[in-house]
Amino acid sequence: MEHAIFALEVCARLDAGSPLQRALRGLAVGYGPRMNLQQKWRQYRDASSVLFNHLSLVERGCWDYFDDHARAQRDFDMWTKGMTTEEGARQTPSGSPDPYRGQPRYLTFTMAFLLVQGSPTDDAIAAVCKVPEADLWKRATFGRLLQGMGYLNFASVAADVSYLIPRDEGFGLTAQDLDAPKFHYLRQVE
Amino acid sequence: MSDPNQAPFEQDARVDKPGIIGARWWQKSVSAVPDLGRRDAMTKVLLGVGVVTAAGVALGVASTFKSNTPSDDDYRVEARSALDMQKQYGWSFGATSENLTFDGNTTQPFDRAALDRLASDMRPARADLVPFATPSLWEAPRAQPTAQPAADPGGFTPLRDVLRPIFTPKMDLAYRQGKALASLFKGTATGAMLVIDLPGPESIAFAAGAAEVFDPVFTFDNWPHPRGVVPAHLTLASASYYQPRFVRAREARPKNAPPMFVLDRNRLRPYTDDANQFDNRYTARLPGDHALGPLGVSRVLYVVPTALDVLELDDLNDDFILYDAARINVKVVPAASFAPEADAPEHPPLKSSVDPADWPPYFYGGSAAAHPFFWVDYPFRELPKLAGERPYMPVALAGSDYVPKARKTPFSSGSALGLVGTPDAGGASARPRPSGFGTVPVIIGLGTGALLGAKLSRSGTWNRYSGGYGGGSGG
Repeated sequence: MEHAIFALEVCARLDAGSPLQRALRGLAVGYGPRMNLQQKWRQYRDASSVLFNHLSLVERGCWDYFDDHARAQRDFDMWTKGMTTEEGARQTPSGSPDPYRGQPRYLTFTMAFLLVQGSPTDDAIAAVCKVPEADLWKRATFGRLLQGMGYLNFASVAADVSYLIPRDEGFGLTAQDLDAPKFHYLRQVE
Repeated sequence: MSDPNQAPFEQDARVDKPGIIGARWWQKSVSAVPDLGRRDAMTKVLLGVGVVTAAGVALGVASTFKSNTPSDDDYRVEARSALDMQKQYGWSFGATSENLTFDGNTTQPFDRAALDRLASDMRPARADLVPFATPSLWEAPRAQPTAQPAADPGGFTPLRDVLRPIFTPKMDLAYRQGKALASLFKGTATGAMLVIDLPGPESIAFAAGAAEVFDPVFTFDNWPHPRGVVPAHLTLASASYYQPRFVRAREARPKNAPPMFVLDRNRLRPYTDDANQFDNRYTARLPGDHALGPLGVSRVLYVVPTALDVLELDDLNDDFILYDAARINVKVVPAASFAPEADAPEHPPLKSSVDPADWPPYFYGGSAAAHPFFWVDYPFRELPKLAGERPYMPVALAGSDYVPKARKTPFSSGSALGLVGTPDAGGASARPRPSGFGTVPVIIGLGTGALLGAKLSRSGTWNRYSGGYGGGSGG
């Protein structure tokens, strides 16, 4: 069976007591060690909805769609390693930001899906991802992609991975963290 | 343990640490676990150029559903009260995945829990004014839906979770203008009631500036909506910014402070497109003429944005005609009548008594010398001693010679003296309204009578009961 991949990562401002971070924390690991199709759909429908409702907080992001099987397998592995190696996560707390000194904190949320190539879901996601080059990194485009995730039929999803950095508010990424080369793939959202 | 055939996704990797939390899942029946090679550097490749069409999206949806979807003849469209639908199905009814846009940023710390006290903090202090206040907008942040449309489940995010305070230059200006107007009335019994009719966020700001002298009575009778004709979320955002100010002003205000009715000038905005807009408009409710006397009101001062806005909005015409007939003096004052001195220094002088946050002070006519001449133009009280002649006033003044004139519009009878309709509990008579005003078209299933959803830019059939887009029947 051949596969395609759709992946999306956003980097959003992490305010104290953030309802966005709280909601994503509950969604990042789903509802149990086994999930059915409806639960998977609900997991990502809720994640995309809460991200959409907080789109104004998103400052950076990236997204991909490839329908080449080898590329899909390779990239899905790459996204998974981003979680298992904890490469982007802080190992020590960054502390609470001082709102009067402009020291923001950030979170990232990553979702990647290995799709059955040629399935109706693959076709639908491919259509959502047909974006003019000039609009690739626009906020409205990220909104479009998040809305389009409602078309994911998990009967045609071979695998998915999602993760939130940080789990705990005190480990939010700083602006200096995001300046590191390992985050240079994240584009400024226009 | 659940049957793996019914729960085919199995978690095979998980991280749960302070810095990161996440999991990976496999559905083995449609995949093989890949060979995990060395991790490549993260480089992104842009997609090819293409133009998206709505048809392309709709096709993707239609292809996930089989031939047992009924036809479009199995439902009808009805108009229902927009506010009632929002109270029942959620503030974002019909657009649950859409966002609100907030203009204006504030760097002040924001206590989201204060939104839960908005209704009580914004209630009039005078008990006799409470029946005339409309708490609808303050109830929206905490409200939860009581039902779900049968074929449009969506998700729900409480409004309080997406609301953020705003602060704009226009709000700052309106605040200072309100403060300047109130300074004229401080400690003076004139029998005057203010009716502030600026765009929602500015009305809130003006009222905040005047709140140490006047008791605010808010009349916002709608909820925000992602496609709302009236941007009520901005009014709410302005209220959350000034909420602490209103609480402090209540403490400083005299107990028998005169009322100021606070309106949103956007309440009657034009509405043309029920496919893409949500009609959250409403009309203002003011006390009837017979109710003003017991409130100690003998004069009404209608605050408008500029000298070009002297004519009241259509839904107030009948009220003002009745007030005039009852010998309640109605005058208009533009907020723009209040301005700072043209040559005011950038910072207050060292010995100035003005709070630096309120510098420069605003005055009627744009100067301290012109300020007391307000009472010449609006003789609501005995004239104070005026020093010198009337100075040149660089601002455009208008409205002091306003007299209400009846006119027939979709929102006014043109014959208010005939007392159209019957008085309601608030003392205001029923008024004409355009057909469909403040309603939203909804889809009703013919067979079940169930409300399926809002008719807002929907394509495809309305009989998907299986749980929404792409939910699958195996769940």
